[in-house]
Amino acid sequence: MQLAFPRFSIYSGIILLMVLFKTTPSFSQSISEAALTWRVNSLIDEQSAQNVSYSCQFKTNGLGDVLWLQKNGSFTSSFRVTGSSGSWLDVGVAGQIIYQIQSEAESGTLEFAKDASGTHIRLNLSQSSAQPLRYDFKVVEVNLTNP
Amino acid sequence: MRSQIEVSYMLKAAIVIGFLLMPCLAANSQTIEGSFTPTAGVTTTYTLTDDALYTSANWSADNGSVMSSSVSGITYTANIQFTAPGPANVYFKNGTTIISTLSVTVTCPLVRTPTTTFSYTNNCGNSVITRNSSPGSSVLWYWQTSNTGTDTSQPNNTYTVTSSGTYYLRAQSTTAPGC
Repeated sequence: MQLAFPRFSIYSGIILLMVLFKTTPSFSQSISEAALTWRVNSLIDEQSAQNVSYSCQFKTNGLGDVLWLQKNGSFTSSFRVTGSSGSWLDVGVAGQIIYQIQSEAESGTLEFAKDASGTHIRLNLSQSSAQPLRYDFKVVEVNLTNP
Repeated sequence: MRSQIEVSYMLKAAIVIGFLLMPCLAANSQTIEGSFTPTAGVTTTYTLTDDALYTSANWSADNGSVMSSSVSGITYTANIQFTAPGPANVYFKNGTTIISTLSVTVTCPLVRTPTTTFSYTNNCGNSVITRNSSPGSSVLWYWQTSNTGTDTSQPNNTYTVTSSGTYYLRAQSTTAPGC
């Protein structure tokens, strides 16, 4: 009597491993060194505690400017990084870094962090004639930015 | 037969492309919502819900003032008060870039015709007419020499005249001077 195990060849196994390796993002990246894309699918307005479905991407490049891509990439803003505090050597594990940013006349902070609740980006930006913008973006995916 | 098949294929392709583009079009639409016929002197609320956040969002209006503005989530709100009747635009901008515009027609608020009694004092060379009541809030009464007059130089209780004739009181809104 022969048991009916699925029959995988060694080659099938290698191909399967290669596919898994290719589709699983590598998170052992330092935010201060790697070029990373952070995909967001919702936000919380911290002024009103309103949770909103919203998609955008942030692109970090070490301590360089942070790009903010909205409307499927058709509306792009840039934050000039004027300083940072903390270090986050592996964005795959819990950690945090805070960038001091400037956007035209407004200034504030952009915090990238991962904790038990997931990965978040928190924007706190002053406004010359209104209350500051305070948003908590929920990050669903972090990938190396394609060159 | 062949051309029928080609037309059918192209029609189907157009429908499919149309459906594929629909979410893109919807995602990029941003329209100011609020009254198309606001009343001058009355605060009117306008909102814009977008799929983007703006770091330098601001509102403005022709012949109007932004009394207050706020953002909640991705919904922007402004309370605007127009000062003059007629066509006007409401603008939502990011910095100086116009994101959306709404064309409106500002109407006049109801301004009641003055209702009062008068008393007179005849002097040598002139007469003083006194109105015996005052307009309500947000309205001023002006003395006129014709029933279509628009002179706003005589808002007092008394009016001194030097010739005989008919004189009028006309009302004007203080919050909408054009009305």
